[in-house]
Amino acid sequence: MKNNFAPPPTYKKLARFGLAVIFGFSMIISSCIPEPESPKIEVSENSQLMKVREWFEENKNNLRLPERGSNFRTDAQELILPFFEKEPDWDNFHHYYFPDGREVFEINLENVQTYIPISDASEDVATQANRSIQNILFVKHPTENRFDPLIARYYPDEESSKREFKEISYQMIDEKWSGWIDLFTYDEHYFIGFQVEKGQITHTRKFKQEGQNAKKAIGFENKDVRCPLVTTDWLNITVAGNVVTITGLNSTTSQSCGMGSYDSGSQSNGSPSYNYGGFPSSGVGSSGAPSGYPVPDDVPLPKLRIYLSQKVSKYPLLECAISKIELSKFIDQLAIFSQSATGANVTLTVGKTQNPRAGAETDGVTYGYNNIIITFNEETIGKKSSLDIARILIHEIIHAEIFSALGQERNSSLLVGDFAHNFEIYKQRFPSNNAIQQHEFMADFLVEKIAKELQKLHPYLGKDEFFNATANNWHKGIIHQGFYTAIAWHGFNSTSRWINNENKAYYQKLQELDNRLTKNCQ
Amino acid sequence: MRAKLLIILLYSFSLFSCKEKEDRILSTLYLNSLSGGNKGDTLLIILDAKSEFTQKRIEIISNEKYIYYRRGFDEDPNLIVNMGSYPDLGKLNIKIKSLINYDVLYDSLIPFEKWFYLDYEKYFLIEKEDLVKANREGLHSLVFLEIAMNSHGII
Repeated sequence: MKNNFAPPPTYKKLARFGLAVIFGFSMIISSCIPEPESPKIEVSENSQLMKVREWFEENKNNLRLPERGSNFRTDAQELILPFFEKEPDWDNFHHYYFPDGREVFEINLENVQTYIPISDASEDVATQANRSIQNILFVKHPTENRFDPLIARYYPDEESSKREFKEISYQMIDEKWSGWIDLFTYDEHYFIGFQVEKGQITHTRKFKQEGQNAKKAIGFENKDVRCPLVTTDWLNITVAGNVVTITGLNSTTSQSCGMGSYDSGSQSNGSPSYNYGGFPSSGVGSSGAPSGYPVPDDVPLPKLRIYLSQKVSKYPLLECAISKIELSKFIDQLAIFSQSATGANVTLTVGKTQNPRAGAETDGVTYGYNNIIITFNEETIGKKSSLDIARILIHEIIHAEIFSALGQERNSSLLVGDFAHNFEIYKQRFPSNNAIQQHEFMADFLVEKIAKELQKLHPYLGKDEFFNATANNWHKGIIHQGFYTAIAWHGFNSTSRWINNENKAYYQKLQELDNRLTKNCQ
Repeated sequence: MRAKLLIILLYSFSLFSCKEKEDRILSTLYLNSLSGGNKGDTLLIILDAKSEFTQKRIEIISNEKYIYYRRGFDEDPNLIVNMGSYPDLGKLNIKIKSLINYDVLYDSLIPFEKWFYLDYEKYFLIEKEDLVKANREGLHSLVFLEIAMNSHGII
């Protein structure tokens, strides 16, 4: 039925006016509604940043080397860039943590002067300088009330890798970025360099340091074809308005090595890190560093991040278990958990698994090794004990690390020494199935490691309740380490190591107790 | 509907005694009564401890009896249901005619997914052999032992 009713023109005007008034008021009211949460975070980060700034203002004069004219290099053949602009642009900063828990503020420098290595002689140096980024990292000392500053320079290979400050940091290299990242100490001693190709580190470089007034011969170790010596020319580029001043610096010699074949990596808490060998953190270094100059003990590899999808927040026990496994040094060295997807190469979520019988799955194939997906089975996660969830998390993170290491063609991994060589054996033994390869590898190398981590985590995950329920099984009131080994075997029961395990019956008895594990997490 | 099922059950229990027909009765019991599992519910499990896929182990510690069952699966040894009867857990004495009030799972008929997805507050178990024996002897009630349960899927 058609409705022929229409208001007279006067009422139409009134109605329109009324609507306009309502709209106007709603605009005013809505503009007054404060944005929840985000301002608080900003205030909190800014107050922390203020502390860094205060510390820097108080100490910056002590951090600087005396002016040394144009001596860009010492007689020791070490690259030392002259003191130049070191004033941070405090409005542009990143805030994150190194894997070992040290807090880092990475702040943009004003970039009036730029130092660049010449990577492509055919390209305009001003263009190369224009796309490079120079930042200063303040690494909070874990025990002392100070920060250790480092200069990070990002040299993109080409224009497509040019990034704004907000788009790149030492812990956030995207998968399309290629170029070099060089780290210098605050007084411009060279620290370490990383070559990155499409988001993955492929090479490191360290400048050769030689004896004072001596030309060191290239020894046998330097003839290693894996670590050839590379000569680099450096330019100092200053932009003032439209005037670009280019000053040539002397060349330096560095040793460039593929990942895993280099001798500079050390294991700090099991994590690969890089020490500045010729520059001790106290006293006068071989290259003339000032006494007492603060140098970070080590700098970790830029590492991968696990993005916790929003679904995770719907599973409090999973969230709690994640917060506990972050306490594990082993996991802390492998992974950073983040609420932000930016820069993440692993996503942890809860949903349907491809195999309905899976407790969880890690897929490093479908979307590539830079987009690994760990999925907990939504049908079963609710029935898991907290220690079971922690065990599955560790298990899947190891899968993710294997996918990542293989994808990056890394020679090294925290999982096992000489990773590439060791894993190659499993590839050859089980060529058709990467799940079998990985499980056989994990069963051979990592069960005890998982067990030890579970033992350390259990006090946070209902150990007392479990102990009370199973007390008759334990001598001297202590849960035997064998129990954790037994449950670490879950998921590996198809492997040859388990099938042929001479202690299988013993472990199976201990596994029978895991039905008394609880959902406590505190 | 419930009354009808109850009559069928009682009729079945009283009339049939040969093994083949017992299995059919138990199948009917399962097929008609398992609701799928809601948290807070109690599930009664009738376990075939003689099955080649079930391992049973009894342990006596300080005169207390511990019974362990592992329901393994030939297709993947990672798929395991692990159950245990412990002295600190309870018992449930149920009149046969009251069975209809519970969810009942007959393990030989259940694919792993059913075990894997179980989400009951409490689990009570009786071995199939004991159930059959009770039926033969004309007992009016059954004793189920409370068990703790865990299941492991592929990871």
